[in-house]
Amino acid sequence: MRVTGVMVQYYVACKRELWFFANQINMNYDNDDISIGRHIHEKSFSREKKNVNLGDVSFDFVKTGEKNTIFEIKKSSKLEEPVRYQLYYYLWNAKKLGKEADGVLVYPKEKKREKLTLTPEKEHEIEHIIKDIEKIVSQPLPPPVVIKPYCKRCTYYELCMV
Amino acid sequence: MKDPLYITSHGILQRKGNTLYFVNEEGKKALPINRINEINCYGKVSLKSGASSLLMKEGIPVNFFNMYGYYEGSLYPRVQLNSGLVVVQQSQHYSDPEKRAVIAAEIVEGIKNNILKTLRYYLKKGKDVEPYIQDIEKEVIKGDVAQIMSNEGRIWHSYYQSFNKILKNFEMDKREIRPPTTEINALISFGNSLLYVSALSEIYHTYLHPSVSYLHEPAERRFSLALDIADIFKPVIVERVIFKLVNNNMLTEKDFNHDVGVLLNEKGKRIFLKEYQAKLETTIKHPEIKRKVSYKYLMRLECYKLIKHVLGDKEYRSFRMWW
Repeated sequence: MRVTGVMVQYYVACKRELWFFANQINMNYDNDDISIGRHIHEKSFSREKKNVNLGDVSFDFVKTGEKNTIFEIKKSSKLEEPVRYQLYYYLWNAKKLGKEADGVLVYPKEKKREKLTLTPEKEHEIEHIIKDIEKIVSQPLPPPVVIKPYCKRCTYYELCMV
Repeated sequence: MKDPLYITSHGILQRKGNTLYFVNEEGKKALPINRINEINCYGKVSLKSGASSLLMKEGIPVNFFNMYGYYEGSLYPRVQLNSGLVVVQQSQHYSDPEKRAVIAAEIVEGIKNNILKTLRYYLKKGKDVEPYIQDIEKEVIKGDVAQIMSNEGRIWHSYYQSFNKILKNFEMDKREIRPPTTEINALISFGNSLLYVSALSEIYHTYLHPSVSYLHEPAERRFSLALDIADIFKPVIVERVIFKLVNNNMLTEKDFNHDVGVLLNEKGKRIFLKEYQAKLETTIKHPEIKRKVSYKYLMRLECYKLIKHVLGDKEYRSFRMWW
């Protein structure tokens, strides 16, 4: 199974969302937040070469230097923790391919950024997450609903609640 | 919020740049493509290829109806939402007769419940519909799909008979189609065909396959899942519109053509469409999702419930009017 960065993000945010998404039930269409996010992704950092593919994953963009930096652009910092793990996963991927990098999360609308460095501890966590993702996704049933503060704006909200 | 567009006159749809235009004798009119989720053509409408490709790119289905208001077919965009898992499970629930009967019975329970709600509303308003309510209450929905379908048939029959007690004008003799022979039959046919495409466009926004159905046979040449979903909502949407239009004299003899059978004329169709559209957009607070939802969106939620049912996540319980 190909684990994507978004799946790692969903793993931390909501396991039910992860199951639906990985089983090709993706509700991220026709949603204003998603369209705005996509627009921000397209319009910011327009001088950079965007969407860099590396192995199984795709980064928003990379800055090369003494140590490479992988950037991830986000609309809002509401899902801070899940998004961090998405980026840690990218850093872990890069390291595995011998291209060690640091990460930066950028929130252009909030004029905010956060630097992340992969530690052995996080590496270990990521490896555990990947195994767990494979386990969850291969289950025949979606995990039960767990109410979280961000459910209300989730695109799966109606599917879960009805 | 995106809305369906209804075209009742003849003309041509064309594209210039990324703008969609409707052109007819009266002139050229730009259509707001970002605010449309489907186009329903009741007049003779031609599509230029540029317009077709723009509409398909935007995922907007175009539905065609003939001069009698019957559904003819659709220009349906490539399926954008695709989940092998859902379609496989959806089909399994069709091909296993027991699993199919569970869903079919739930659908008929929904129909029964919503019809009873409608009749009780008119009972409260002093209409003599008590005997019909009793007949319908007596129906115990169980058995195989064939038995469930005969339950359904009897429920509709009693319900249609009650129309003579509810309506101030026009007679309801018996349900007849192709072509309808009375005004009421014409209204039911027209309303049902509208609801059918509304249900279809909601299904289009989910992962369900529109041809795999439970109450109706998928072998019917139409997208039969839309017929399943629409049936649950007929008493809530179509009949309530009809009762209002007739009892408030908003539609009269003049709004029908009486040549081949009885059919709504263009003015009649416009009056009906306006009321129908208003009904679809009426909102109600949903007790489970705790949000205001439109009657139209209730059909989408019905699809979500079916998805959850076929995936084994949560048992399907059909929509029953709770207000």
